[in-house]
Amino acid sequence: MTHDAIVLGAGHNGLAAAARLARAGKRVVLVERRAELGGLAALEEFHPGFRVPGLQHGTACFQEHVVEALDLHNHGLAWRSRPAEALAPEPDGTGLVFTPGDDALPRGLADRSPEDATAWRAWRAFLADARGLVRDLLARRPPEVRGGLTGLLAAVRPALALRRLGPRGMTELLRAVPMAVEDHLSEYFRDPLLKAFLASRAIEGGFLGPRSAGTTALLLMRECGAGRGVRGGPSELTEVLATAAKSAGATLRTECEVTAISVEKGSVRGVELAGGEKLEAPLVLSATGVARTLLELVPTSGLPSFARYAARHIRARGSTAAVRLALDSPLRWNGREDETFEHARVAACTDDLERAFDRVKHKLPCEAPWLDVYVASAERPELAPEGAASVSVLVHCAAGDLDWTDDAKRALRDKVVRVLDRHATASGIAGEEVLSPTDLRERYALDGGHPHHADLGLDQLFLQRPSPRLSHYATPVRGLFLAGRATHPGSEFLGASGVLAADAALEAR
Amino acid sequence: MKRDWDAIVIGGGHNGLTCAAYLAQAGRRVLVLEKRHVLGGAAVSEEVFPGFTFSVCSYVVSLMRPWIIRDLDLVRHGYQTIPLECSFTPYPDGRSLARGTDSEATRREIAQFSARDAEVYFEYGQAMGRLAAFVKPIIDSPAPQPTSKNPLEILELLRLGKRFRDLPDELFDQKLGLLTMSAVDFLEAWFESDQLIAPMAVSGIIGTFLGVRSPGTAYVLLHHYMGEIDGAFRSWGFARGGTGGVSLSIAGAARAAGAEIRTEAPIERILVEGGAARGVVLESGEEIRAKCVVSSADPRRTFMGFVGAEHLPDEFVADLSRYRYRGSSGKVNLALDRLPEFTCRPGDGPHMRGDIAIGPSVDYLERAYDDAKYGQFSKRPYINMVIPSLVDKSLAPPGKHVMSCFVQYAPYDLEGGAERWPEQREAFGDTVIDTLAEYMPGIRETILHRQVLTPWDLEQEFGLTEGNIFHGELSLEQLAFQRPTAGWANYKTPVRELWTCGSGTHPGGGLMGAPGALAAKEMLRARAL
Repeated sequence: MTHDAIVLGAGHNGLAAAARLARAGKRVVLVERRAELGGLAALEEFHPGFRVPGLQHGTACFQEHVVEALDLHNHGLAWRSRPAEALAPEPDGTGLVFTPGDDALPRGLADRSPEDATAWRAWRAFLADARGLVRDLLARRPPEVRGGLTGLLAAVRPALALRRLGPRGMTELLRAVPMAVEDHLSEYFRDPLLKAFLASRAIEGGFLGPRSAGTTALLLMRECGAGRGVRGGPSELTEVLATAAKSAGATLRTECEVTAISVEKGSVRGVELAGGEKLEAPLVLSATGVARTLLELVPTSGLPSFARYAARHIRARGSTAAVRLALDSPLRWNGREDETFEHARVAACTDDLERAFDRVKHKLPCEAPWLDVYVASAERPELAPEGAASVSVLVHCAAGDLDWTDDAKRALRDKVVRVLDRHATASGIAGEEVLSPTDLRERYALDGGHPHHADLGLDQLFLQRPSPRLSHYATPVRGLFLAGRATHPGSEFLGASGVLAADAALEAR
Repeated sequence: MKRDWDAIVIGGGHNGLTCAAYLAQAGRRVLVLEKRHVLGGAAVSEEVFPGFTFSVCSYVVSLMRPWIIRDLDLVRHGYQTIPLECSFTPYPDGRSLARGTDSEATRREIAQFSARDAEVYFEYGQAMGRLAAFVKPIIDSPAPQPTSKNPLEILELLRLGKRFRDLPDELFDQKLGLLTMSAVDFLEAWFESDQLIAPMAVSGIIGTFLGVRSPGTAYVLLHHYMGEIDGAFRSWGFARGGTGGVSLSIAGAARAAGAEIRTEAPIERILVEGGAARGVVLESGEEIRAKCVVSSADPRRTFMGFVGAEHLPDEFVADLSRYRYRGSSGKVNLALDRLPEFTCRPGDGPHMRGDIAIGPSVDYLERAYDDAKYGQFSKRPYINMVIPSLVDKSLAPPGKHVMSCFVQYAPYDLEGGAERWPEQREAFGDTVIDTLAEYMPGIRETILHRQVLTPWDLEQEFGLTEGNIFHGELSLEQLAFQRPTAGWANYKTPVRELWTCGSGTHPGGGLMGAPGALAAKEMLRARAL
């Protein structure tokens, strides 16, 4: 065989997996369907001179353990000096400014609500207790509780870590995890804007509303997992990962579509490419969707029925749309004309978030979208012409089951711009692009058009991500591993799934 | 004053009575004090209108633990259930579904919507039965405490973990899903027809402030299958004489064992001296002392109402304040001049003799929930109704009937405040009748009397905080070792000699008697009296 391992998909996870395997001395080839590397973080020019990094808004949850595993500091990685701030604006120019992951009081909170400022400290103290444990869980493969003695021992670790929090800390954490984020936040806070901002971080992209049980777990993961982020943003991280992979000897091939994964006698043999070329290797790591991998690429005869059943029943109800705006001038938020923000979340209260989710649930077009805004050109001015701004808005309340006609997309775009207009000056829209969940599915080959590859309900996290018996990266096909966003710890934690999958593959050999 | 009693039990509901009966059987001198003029709490039968006896609140016997029935010899004291024959759901398009004891008929009924579902239905029942067998020991014993430092308890936890781990693969997967999924997501993995999924999913939302698509609702689906492993076809049934019959049989057992039961004896407070409960003071001013006090009232009434924050640690008070109730259901009881009929299936028949669910689609149920989330009662509510007079002639005059409608959602926190419920009560009742009339157009003409109970009424009349029928939401973070709060889930309280035995303790609400019995066993084990 010419290769030791083939990696499918050049998103952050695919690149990280390739780098990890190559660093372990494997001869690795990575194949990518599109012309550019980066997957959901690849830079895309949506209007002449205006670019955004796909669907990836920032790198705040990029994990230290990935940096260490791949020695990224020696391949050009630099942390930001400080994390990117995020604005929760109000139309009247007031609002809050957050630094995700940071314990410091959000700017503006002391004035808006002194009680909430006090509660903030209590809430951060709770997070501080949980942080070590959560980060540890994010950095490891889920324990194989049914995998014999070693698996059991692996399960004892988090259990002991939990007990080390003391009876109070332990029960507080166990209590919070299955709660709806609305209930959790209401135990601490009153300010609707504060709650809406935090709740929106929990539910984004997940086919969830703030009243959905288990959303507190997501907030914990995202808040405890947040760090400074990578200098240069998602596309710079792509460069770093690609460099690390290449310098370790991995071959990266773009415009190279895999049409089938070959399986013989229960073991993977390699892949077939569009055009007929065949690549052989005893190891294949797929960073694309699980349903796509197991149901479309692996031949039916090659997979036991339980795995087909599991793959078919992974819920991936994509409900995110992207609206990209090319602005003539910087985005100026009301009352904050002198400041620049990379991130903003426009949502007034948790009921607005819940109502937006109601529409998704009933498969109806959204009426009042809440916005997840990323000004890509704020950190990297070269992504827009001088003096202009390149803005990506994700609308996480766009039902995937709709018939996304051009009219429907235009209507969504108009609603987004209306909301933006109330809070900021977004005059001079020079160009735009709207991507519906259907478009996302096609452009990025996403299962269900889902930016996270699979819903983020409690039943599809950790030991169950994406499904109980597929949660350890290995598949029933010997040598075939899952390394994409649908595996633990998932998409926020860029490249982490790729590294953990590669480790699992290396260990299995 | 001499100590007359070993234990005073606050509340003559089924859990209070069960606790009293167990303590009395162990030879303790027990006094039960009930606020109302009748026993039973929310498991009560009352002649609300002359000649018409209603199971006013709880209306079917579901999970009554078989070992309690045996231990207390309840059958000898009049406990008798009449099995529900059928689960029936009508749909707006004129079709309907009756699932009953005859499996061939049930198969045909389901097949009108999906032949595949008709086959899978029985496979599903078997899988759920096997899973229920796994859960049974958990609801039949005190909750294991994960924070415990006691080696025996840690061993118990590990044993539980091992049992879980040793489940066969496919059951292990299902079990994990049940703990975390929504009822609809779970059922959609099995079935394809909305007409079947909707009526099956509703068991996940009864008494909760959640929708059928809310994560965490799948778990309760299991409860429907608990009965099968006890030998009978499910344990769902009508109690002879109404649900109060169950309470009265337990009261009979308690009395036979020597317990004394007083009604119309409302408690004003629990006497706390030197950090220990010494007895109670009635609203009448009468003071009764005992070695210990055990309350079957819900946590808020017990601790904030009868004990007072000044006798409790701050942390416990804070924990109790975040224990959530938010009742979501109401009851409409109808006295009928004659049997009403469904357009889709006219006349009497097995479909009338079981439980009848108005909740024709998942979307319908979700919309009902959506209304409640924003402080309105459902414009088109989910209704679960029974006509027990068809099988128990003692409940209504000849030819006439009682119909009991459990209605969800009726959120305690109405927009504008819970105090608005009295003025909304009749509008709520009208909504229920309007909804019924869509399927039974003639129903209005048959109604002689109606009783409408809103969550507000359930709180005022039955002492159910915020109208929650389970003494607190049955959400994952309020179960087992966290019910009602972490550290105090073993029937003990921060007040010495004060115990709890109501639905606000493990294993929670429903007509099962387990909290009362387990509390009594713990008290005896701890030599509390």
